[in-house]
Amino acid sequence: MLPFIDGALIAAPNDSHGSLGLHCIRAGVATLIEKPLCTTLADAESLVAEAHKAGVTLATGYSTRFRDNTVFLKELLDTREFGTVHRFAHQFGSAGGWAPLSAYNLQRKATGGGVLVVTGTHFLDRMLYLWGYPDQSTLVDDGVNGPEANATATFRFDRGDGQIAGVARYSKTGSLPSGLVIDTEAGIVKMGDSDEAPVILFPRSNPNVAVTIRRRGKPRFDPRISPFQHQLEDFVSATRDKRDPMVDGKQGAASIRLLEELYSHRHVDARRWYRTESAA
Amino acid sequence: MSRRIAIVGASGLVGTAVVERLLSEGRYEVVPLIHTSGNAWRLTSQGIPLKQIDLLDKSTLGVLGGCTHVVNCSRGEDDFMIPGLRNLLEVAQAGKVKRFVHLSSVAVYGDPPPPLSVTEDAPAEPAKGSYGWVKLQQDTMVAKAAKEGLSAITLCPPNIGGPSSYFFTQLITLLRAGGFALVEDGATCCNIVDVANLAAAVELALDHGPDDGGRVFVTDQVDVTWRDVIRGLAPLAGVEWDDIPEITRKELAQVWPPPKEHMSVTRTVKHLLSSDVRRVLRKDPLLGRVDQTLRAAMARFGSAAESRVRKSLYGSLRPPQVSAEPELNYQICAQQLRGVRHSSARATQTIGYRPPYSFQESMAAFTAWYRWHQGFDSPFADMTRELY
Repeated sequence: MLPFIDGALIAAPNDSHGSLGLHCIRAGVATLIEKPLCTTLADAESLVAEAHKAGVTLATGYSTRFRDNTVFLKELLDTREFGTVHRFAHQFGSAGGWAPLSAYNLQRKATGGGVLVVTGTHFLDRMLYLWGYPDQSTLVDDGVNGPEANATATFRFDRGDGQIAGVARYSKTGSLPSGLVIDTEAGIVKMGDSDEAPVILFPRSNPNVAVTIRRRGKPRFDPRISPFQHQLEDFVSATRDKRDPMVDGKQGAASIRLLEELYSHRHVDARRWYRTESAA
Repeated sequence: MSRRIAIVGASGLVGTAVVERLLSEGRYEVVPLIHTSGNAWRLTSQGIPLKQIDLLDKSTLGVLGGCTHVVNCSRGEDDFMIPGLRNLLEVAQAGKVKRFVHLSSVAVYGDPPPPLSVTEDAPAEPAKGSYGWVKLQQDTMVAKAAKEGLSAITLCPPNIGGPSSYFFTQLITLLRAGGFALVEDGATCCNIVDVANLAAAVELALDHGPDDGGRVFVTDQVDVTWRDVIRGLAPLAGVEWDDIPEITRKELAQVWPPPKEHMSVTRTVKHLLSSDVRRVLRKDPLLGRVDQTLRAAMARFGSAAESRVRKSLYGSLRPPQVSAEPELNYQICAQQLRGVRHSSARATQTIGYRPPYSFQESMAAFTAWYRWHQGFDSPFADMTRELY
């Protein structure tokens, strides 16, 4: 069947992304793999190398990169609209949520991790897009014997004009107010975690004022259209025009590298809440 | 381990606490059963294997085979709870389960509950269609199964506190948004049970207590007031005590419960002509055509006639009321008027229940959990606070 199709979208359990992706790429089929690209860096590197060898489009399904506010924030940071960035914090939490019928999401082997993969990987991808690869990272989570339900990752970026320190917090056991906060030279920049959330600046000179920053002119991605549709259109046009998709395999692999690095030095925090219980 | 205990609804707040307690005892073979994987992360993070069932599909309940005890912590939509429990009871009866522990609620007595509901013998008369009403139907089903030979007990907790408490987190959210007001400075009683205390009661109920499906209240057994609860939660919400709004009994009684809407032909016609109903009806091709014809006919009479019809049905259009005051959640505020302290004396007498944790320990545990979960003690707390 593969010789008769031009493109494939892989949205199967995470641990099948690698083998299914290789199968498609080796058959010369352009492939969009849902996030995460796969579950190991070795598989990610194979996918990227094979796609390069075969001259086939390989895209990673990080749909939040197709939000206009993500691209707009990147432009604002790159043009130093807010001056130097000092720190950032991102968090997202909900009690429960997405529940595939197979329940594969609860198996560390099948997902490649826990909440950091299932929920957090979207921001990790955006973080790499905004600031590049971090120079240092830590991870504390509560996965005692299974996939973690709560995770806190910290990052440090050494830049020519100083350091950026950041945190990313995710929960599958309770609601957290979601969004991104950036401490900059100009003030606190805040953006909610939704397709149409505005960029808001609380100027250092007057933190009680909220300045909503809007793009002048046409958005890069029409907010009336779902980011998933933008993603698919980008994948199709990249395949037709023989150009790189907006989120290519290499970027997907960078996220896998970061996830693998975080999990390699994770610290498990198995605390108890009642004073009469002994801390683990 | 001769006792194999199925926990139905294992991924909920109570189910998770029960699973964790029974496993920590090391004396039971525990079979945690969940409906979907979405809410089961706390259990899986500890490596506890889970099985999926659908209470509406009896063919999935084979996993109950060989279980000597069943604890039912399942919840769901109204149209799920009755048929789901029916299937569960039938499977338990057919499988000769030795003991069935059913989690009900003090809500079966109604809201507000009658003064006599200090004890379980008070008449249970919840409003038809309410959550308490559905739970009462369930209680009746459990009592019937008990009459037919299934040893069963029904535990009735009030609001549940302790780590991960939805009740407490909801109150914090309301306090932060100015949506909660104190009645009489919070001096009224607040029925509460710590989730770990409730799990301890469930374990006791596996072996003790009524076998006729009878109800047993499980509470923290102390005179907790709303002031105690809110004093514990206000600092977590970042709210000063003096900034919490107050409302009198009289003011609250005027707005809650909301007045019942009486049946009337005019109201029904208004409802049928409302845009929401017409939008749904228009999905049917025939009804869509009728709607289109009627609207075209009305348009022929001109906009003045259309306005007259609209005015006669809905009255003059009023500009929306805009208020700078945050909106109070009257339903939660009105819980302060319940005025009955449900006694867990029967739990003490029949199952030997003595809460392992005091209210103070419970609130301290919740506080520790909440601070950790929300990242209050992280070096980035000043940043994440910006998101509230």
